[in-house]
Amino acid sequence: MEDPYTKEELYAIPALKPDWALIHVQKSDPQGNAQILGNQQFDVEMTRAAQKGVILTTEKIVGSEEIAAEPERTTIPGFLVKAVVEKPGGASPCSCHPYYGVDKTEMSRYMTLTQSQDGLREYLESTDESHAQDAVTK
Amino acid sequence: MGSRLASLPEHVIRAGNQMAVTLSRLIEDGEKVFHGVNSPLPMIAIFLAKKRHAPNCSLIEVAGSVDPKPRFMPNSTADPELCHGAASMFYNPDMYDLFARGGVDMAFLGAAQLDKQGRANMSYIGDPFQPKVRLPGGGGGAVIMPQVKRTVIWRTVHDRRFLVPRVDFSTQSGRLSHLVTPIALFEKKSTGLEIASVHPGHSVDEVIENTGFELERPSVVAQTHAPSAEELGALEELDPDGVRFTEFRF
Repeated sequence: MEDPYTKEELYAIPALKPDWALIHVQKSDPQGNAQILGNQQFDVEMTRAAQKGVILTTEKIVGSEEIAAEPERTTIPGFLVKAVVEKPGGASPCSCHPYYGVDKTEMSRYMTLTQSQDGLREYLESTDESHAQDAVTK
Repeated sequence: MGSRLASLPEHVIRAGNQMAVTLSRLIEDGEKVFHGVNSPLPMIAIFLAKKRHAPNCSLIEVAGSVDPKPRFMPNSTADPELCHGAASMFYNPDMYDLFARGGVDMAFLGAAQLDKQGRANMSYIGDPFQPKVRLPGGGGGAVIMPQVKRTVIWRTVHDRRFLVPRVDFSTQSGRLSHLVTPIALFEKKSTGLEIASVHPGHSVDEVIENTGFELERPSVVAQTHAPSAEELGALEELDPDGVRFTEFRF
């Protein structure tokens, strides 16, 4: 496309518009005002792109006053968030800085088992299903 | 030396160290340098350059930081450890904006297939609708390669499946300057990729034999400088666990 200012030929790429963004954070208040510590990759952009909203899992749900004490760290506003799930260890076997690193043993198990359909089923059946009891707010 | 190193074949240790120093020497002092995900060798090469000949280069980390001081070399090159002690946070959207305004001097990128003109395939092998192999995709490569001042591609294998006459799909292309493999250093010239130097212990015949596209046979074959004792010492200090060897299959 032609740049209306410089007349230069440029590419235009349509924006991705996912329905939902599912992201895991270190800390959120019950309204979904949330903080990502460490690196955030594209998580913040994903929260903006999601058309229906964000489903947030968090290491812990804290009081609103704790989040409001450091607003410069709060990169996800609660108005974008549709559900908050308290799920300690929710990023595992990937890492969640500074709580835990990559679980290499579990990653290797995943990599090995998911080479086949049967292995994938075995992996899924053996993973923790305790999420049914997790607290959900909003 | 960590326990992982004890079990490595000699040829892998030699190739890994040679590739790390060869990549590192391509970095100039004061440059802004980027590495992506799944890039252990470039990550080590950049830290080595900062430790030795290019102390003022700035590392733009795909993990979202600038000039981190990790306490150990992580296996994943997007590990949060790569934000530890950073001079500044610099998240991925900032990074892509910097690429777009021409602010990055050098980027290290991988490729599953590469042709003489520097077109790189990271998408699929075979029929697009029934691919033989579905590759991981180019990440940001398609916008990085045309916008960065120069791209260096590396891969820990050198064979005719990698260096092909024609890529199955051109995921990314642009300003390629060098290619580093376990046996040679290539430079992109007006004719395309040509041999710049052959690593010690390898021959120009071996390079030509294992390259799927046409190469000009150099009249005088330059040999890549072997890692110096100082470079090897610095590598050992920087990466005692041997993260730089993790990409090798043997």
